[in-house]
Amino acid sequence: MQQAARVSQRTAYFHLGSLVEVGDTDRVFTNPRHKLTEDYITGRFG
Amino acid sequence: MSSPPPVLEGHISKAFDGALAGLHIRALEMGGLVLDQVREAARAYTEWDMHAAARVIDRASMVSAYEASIDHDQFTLIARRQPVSRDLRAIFALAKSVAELQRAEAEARKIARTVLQQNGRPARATSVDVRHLAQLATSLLRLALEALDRIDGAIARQVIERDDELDGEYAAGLRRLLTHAMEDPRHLDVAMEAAFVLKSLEAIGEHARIIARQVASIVPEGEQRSAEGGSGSLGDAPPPDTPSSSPSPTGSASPAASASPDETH
Repeated sequence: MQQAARVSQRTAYFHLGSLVEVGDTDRVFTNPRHKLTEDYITGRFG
Repeated sequence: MSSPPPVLEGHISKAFDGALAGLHIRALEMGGLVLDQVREAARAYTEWDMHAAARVIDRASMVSAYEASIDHDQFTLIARRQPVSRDLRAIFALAKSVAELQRAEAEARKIARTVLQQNGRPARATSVDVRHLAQLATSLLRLALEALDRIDGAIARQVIERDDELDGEYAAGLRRLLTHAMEDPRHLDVAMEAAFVLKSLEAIGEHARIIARQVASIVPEGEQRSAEGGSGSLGDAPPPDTPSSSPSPTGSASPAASASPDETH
């Protein structure tokens, strides 16, 4: 995940095959819109 | 200062939860100490109590020690855990709040030093003004700390609104002080010191407001995370907070990073 944050311009988060959120990497890693994305990137599940 | 707010917990790594909660609790402890310093300094001035003033100066090192240890733990936490999103905002908000607390404590020490210099006791009317302003400033600081304790944006916004009240009282107190000074210019030096004390109390209120702003930035208003799929794109995925909803061992939950060729140029 750290690599995804480092190399990409845009990031998408999929959960159980469904697209949850997509956006600029900066935004997704600092201020995600969806709780599932936030819980995943902050290490609360996954 | 009860159990940590849900905003900061819930990590798979319980050690991360513990480190974050530890940081939070220590910032609150420091806040409690600063609040006591402000109260004691204001009391020392209004009651012209040398011992109380000396106590405030003596305890300054305790506040610095808190700040140094919190700083160290923040660096360690960032280096070891690479926090993102809400966690990162919380750590930064705590760091900035701690800095504001230290500034508020420096203002309290200024008040205590005024007493220790013994240039002359303030007039009774001035003492009443200082006591009133100190009550407002400490109640704002206490409310800001409560917001920080619960990481509660609603309480934080109350502090931001109530700071205007303190500003108004400060302006009124200063006007009254100037009127007294003009009536009796012999004690101009005492009046000037009193003006600085009023200014310090107003500054403490301002620091409380900045702390409240930091708390509000952790969970911004109107940016509540949607748990039901936001735009509905999640489809039939299970709710995220039930244990059974954790991803299957096949690892179907993963971030997909795209670095498309046309964007890399």
